[in-house]
Amino acid sequence: MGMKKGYLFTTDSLIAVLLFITVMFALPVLYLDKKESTNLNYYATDMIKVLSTLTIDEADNDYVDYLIEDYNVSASNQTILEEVGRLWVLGYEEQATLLVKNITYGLVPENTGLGVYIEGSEVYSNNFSKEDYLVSSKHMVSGIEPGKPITGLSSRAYLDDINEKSSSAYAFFGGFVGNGNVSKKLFIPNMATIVNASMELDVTTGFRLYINNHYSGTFNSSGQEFDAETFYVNRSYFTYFQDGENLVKLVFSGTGSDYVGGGYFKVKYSTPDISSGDIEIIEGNAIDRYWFPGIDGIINLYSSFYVPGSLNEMTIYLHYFANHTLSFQHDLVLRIGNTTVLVDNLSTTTQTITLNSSFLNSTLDYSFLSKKTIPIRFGFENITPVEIVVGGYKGDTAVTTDLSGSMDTCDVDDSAHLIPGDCGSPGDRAQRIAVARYVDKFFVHYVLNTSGNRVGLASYGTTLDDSLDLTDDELLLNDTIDDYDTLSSPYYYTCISCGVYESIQLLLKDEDYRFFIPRNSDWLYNISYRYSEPPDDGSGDNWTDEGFDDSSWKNGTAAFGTYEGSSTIINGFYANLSELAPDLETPELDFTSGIMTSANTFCHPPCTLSPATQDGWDYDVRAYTTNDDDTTRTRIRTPNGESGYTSYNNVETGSNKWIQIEIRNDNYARDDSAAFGIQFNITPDMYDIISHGGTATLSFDYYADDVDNDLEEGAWIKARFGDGTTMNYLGSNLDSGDTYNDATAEIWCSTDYPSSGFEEGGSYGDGITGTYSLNVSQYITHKGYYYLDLGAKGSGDYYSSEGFIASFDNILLTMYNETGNVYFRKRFSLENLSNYTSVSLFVYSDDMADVYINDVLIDNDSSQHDAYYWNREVAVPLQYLNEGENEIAVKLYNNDSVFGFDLALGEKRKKAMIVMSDGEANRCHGPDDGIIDTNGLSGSCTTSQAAQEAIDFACYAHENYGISVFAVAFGNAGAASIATLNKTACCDDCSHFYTSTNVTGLVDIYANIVEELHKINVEKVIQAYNVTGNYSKNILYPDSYIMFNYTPGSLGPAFGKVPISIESARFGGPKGNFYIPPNTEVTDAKVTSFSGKRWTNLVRINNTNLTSWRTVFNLSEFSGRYPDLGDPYIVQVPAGMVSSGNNSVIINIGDNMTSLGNGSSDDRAIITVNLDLQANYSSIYPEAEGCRWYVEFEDGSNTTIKVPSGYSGSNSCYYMNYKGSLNVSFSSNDSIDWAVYNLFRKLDIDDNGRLYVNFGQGEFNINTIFIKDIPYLWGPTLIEVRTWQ
Amino acid sequence: MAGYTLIRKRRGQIWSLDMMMAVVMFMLALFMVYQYLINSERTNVSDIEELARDSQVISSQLLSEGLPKGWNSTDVKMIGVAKDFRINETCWERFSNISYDRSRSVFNTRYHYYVYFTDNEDNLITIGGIDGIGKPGVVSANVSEVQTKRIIKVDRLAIYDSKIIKMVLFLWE
Repeated sequence: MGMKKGYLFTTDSLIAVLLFITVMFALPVLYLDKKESTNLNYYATDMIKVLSTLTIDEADNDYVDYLIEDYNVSASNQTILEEVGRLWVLGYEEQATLLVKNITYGLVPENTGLGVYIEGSEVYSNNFSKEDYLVSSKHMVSGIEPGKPITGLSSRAYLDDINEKSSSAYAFFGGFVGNGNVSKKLFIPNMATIVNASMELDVTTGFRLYINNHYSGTFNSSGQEFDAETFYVNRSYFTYFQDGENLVKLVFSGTGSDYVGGGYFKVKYSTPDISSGDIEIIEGNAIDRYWFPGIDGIINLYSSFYVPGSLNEMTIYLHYFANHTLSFQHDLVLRIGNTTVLVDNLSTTTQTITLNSSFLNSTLDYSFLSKKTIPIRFGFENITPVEIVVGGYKGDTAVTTDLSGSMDTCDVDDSAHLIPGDCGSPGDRAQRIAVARYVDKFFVHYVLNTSGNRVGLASYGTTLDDSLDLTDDELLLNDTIDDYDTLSSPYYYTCISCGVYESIQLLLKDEDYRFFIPRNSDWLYNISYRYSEPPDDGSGDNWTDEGFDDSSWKNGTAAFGTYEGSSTIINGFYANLSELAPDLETPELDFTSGIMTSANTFCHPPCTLSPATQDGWDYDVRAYTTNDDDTTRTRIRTPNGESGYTSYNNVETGSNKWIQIEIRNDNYARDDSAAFGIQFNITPDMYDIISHGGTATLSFDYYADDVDNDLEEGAWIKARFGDGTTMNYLGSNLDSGDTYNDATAEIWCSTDYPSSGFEEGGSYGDGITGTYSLNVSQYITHKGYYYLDLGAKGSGDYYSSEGFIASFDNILLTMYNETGNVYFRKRFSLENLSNYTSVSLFVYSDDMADVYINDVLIDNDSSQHDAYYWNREVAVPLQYLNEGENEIAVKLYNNDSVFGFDLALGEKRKKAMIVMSDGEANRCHGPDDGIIDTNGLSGSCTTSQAAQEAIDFACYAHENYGISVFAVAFGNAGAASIATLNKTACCDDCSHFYTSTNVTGLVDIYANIVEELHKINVEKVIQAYNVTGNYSKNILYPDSYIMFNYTPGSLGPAFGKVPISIESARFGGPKGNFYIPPNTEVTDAKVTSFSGKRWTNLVRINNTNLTSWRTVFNLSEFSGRYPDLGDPYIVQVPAGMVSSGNNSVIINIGDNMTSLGNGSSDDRAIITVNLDLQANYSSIYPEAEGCRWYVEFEDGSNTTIKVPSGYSGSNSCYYMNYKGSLNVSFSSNDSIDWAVYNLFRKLDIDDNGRLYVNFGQGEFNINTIFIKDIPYLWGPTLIEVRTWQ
Repeated sequence: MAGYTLIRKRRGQIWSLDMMMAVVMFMLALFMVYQYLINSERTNVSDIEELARDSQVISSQLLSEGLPKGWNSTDVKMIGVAKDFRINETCWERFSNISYDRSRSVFNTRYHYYVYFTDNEDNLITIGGIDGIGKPGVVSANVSEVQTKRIIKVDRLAIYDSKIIKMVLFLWE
């Protein structure tokens, strides 16, 4: 039994354990299986949102189309949900259900219920039965409510006609109209009733007004420039106005210098003509005219006109009298934009000139001029009181830009709002990088305004980020600058030296740009006429003539002369035995060519060359050894002459070869020595040089090295020079008093403490190097052979394996003329000479030089001096240069044995870099900076040395290449940055350091740099002539015009709309504001600019739509030379840039593109809006009865009108002004009253209760329409979407 | 009445005792399993909630305009491809130009995602030539087969081309 009990227990336990294990393993596995889940809540919320967003007219659904066709469902902008509600409350319950069903089909899974309910009543349900979870989302819909009517009355009102509209006609003067009496055409619509006439003018003297040649009043002026004074014309003179064309004339009381510095003559009128004006439109193209003002005095017009579309054709008609025979001998010029279309320097009688479209089509860029305010200038050249000089030196500038992380700081003061997208509080701060982009582009634009200049770009962060080679492509430069943005980690550090380094590379990459003869050019030269000029070539041409026959002259490459690095050595001779690596840069005559062809005197017995045996120091085996063991004792060898080094003929003379003398112990207590000799043949010509005071300089390099690094005995290097008969030891007696000494001079020795090693080397085995040089002309007393012995000697204390090696290389004997002139000639070709405004000659000479170009002496230097680049910079008048072939000839005066010559001819270009940063330099350029790395930081430049590296690079650029350095500390740069940039600028000129924390300051800085760099002399220029003394009057007749054909952006106001001009108040300061009422269609916008005698430079606008300041006019876009350009008084603002609400305008004036003076506080905006003569249908109201309306108009008049016209009731309604504001009263249940009110609001654009259009009973018609089934605004009603699972 | 003799059957007693012990052990095992599952579920529910929360946030962001308004791949702070539930094709294309890793960073999610659109019959809708956006290598056809412990699918409704369509977002570990 006991056994059975045990079995049962075990079995049950096993079952339990198995169950346990099974559950333990199975459940987690099941639970951890991936799970796909959906969120029921989204179906409800999303469904309610899309059904309340998708509109009936938008929905692409067959059932919606069916409803529209068969159930009078209008394709309206009602949402699906609203339409469901509408159908439902109207009794179309089935249609409502089907609409929901169709539109939601398939949008929820099959296992999800969906239902739509209105106020708890089911509209639709997919009848999914299971409902464990329910989600509901609700939406309110207005206009429907069970039990309420959903239809009412809606009315609309419109004007059939109007009696009058109030508007204004303008005659604009300026920017500058003078000098003398001025007139202008003024066009007044037909049937206009003049309300008032006034002038707003910038004049400095009083005047009499003539309307259509009728005296119309005298007006006095305060004489204040830039101020607009308002003058009102007495109503009694209004009768002088006529429909259509009028002429108003101002006759000044001054002396003839009078002018209008901007302004207008305005006639406010009422007219029943609601057309837009006198613009003629034919087949979609409009034709309009700009009428020139009449000027009776001296024609001096700076003005503008605007083409409001794509310009197709232009014709100019000029009617003037300019008497060139008397006082004014100046060119009368008409310039459109920057293009001169007429120059008259001859006429003496009245001219009527037509510049036809074919001429103007080929002359002007219509695309550029379209939709622009175009400056026009018509007047005499060169009689303004102050001239402007733009563009001195042409040049190249590398502009560096810091893109480090700190450049995203928003701290640059931009209260002038020059930067689009100001940041920071209070909205007048700009991000540093945005400012950098702005000033970089400004700099580019200003520099490139003068043709021939180029700009390169280098931007940097931790390293160089981007660079652009020097170019005059402004678009390319701007594109590159536009891509500038602050860098992120790890590139956001500041490596100023990276920018400087790259700038140097950019500036040096194309040094010969615009040079006809660059530095180091090939020349023909002649050294045969040292003391007299070359004779003519036999055909009568002397050496400076273009046609001179110089075919016998030698050819060489500059620089010529004796200076180190000269490419062509003339008047001097070298003998170079061999070269010690590295090779010398200059090709030289060597041992196997030139004067030493008679062979050297190296000789080892048995000597066969005579008189080689005479050179004294050759090794004499019999004299110094007893066992003929010369090969192991003392030997002469080449560096690679490991074998056969006793042979006399194995002295090699190729590159990297040198000769050695090895002194070894010979076991005898006697000095050991060896030498070789070089034979020089002093030719008669050479001796002539020497005998005429020339020099013969002998030089060689030597090297001494102990063979076993423990030299204990004396060692000598010796040399002798002479004619074989008289040999002169060279050097000096260096061993006097030493342990070892001899009686003769030596080049080098180690003879004092030989036990401690070479004296000069310091320790055992150190090699000694040196160069010996001596003027040996004193030893050259006749022509013939001379000898140089080079030898080595060791003391007799040498033991076996001891000794030293003496090596020699670069053995030179150079002879130079002391006196004697050299002549150079070169031909060069020159094209497009007109592209050059200045050409300069650059001369490198030792000593002085006469330079002839095309046989004309251009420069004659008279001072003795060493040569450097460049000794002379001389401007070359362009008239001395020929288009095509030219010739230049130079006489170089050589008054001593050293001379040099090089020359360059071309456009003088200044090179400069602008180093800009906002922070401390904390990264180096390294590790390998090449030759620029003058500070030894290569490879070891650490962060703390980064600033010094930037300074060193900049100083290198200035010192070696004359590169001007300008430095700009940007924004709130720290003290360390300022210090670095200040020192960087000081490499050139400490005054080239600038810093500013505001945008206008930085713009000024970059402008100053341009002017400093290019020596641009920007004088203050004013537009007025300074008229003194007697002068011959000239006349511009006001029938002159510019007619232009253009394709307008729009073809005038649409039917039912009328254009109305309104003026803003005067801006009252440098920044002006004007207001556009909501829902107003602006068709034209312009701002006035009273710039006086200066130019309207820049106009910008900002509003809530634009979000940042946008430029609408930039005069420099046409040219940087403002005296050539017209001056707008009216600057057009694209209507699309004007928004409802407040608009802000900034106007800047000045004499040049960098001048941003404040515009006049009297400037204002003139806006044309289209008034809508009809209002949309009113909302739904229960009544449509009408009213008797009392209405007031803008001109102060009022009227009473019944609406509808047959209204006979007693209701009274008002739309009037009360204490300056709108006062309105009408029935709020009457749809007709609402329609009229809505119309009146449109006609009262300034909301003052006075309508801009004046109408009478007959012209004002109310059309009342009843629309059925239009839902009221009942509710709101809750529509619910439920989803469940 | 004759007296009864109570016969105790020891075998039955033994079975009952064994059975009682087995039941006790089984109950004990069930208790332990239950405890394990409760603890396990606590952890898993937390993960699921995070996944669900991210899916809710990401899908809602996608159905917004995004930030800043008119965002681009450079300045995007929140990726949104719709306005008023209407899919903006341009934004969808911009979204596709953002690298996957960057988009996850912008979504601020550690999960992988794939998003695409279907019509009411679950046919894939290609917008701007783009079938779907998300983890490289994943497409709408295989996204539900992604090997992962947890995956969430979210269907959202939107409007495109005058129709109501579904935006399907998968999010997984």
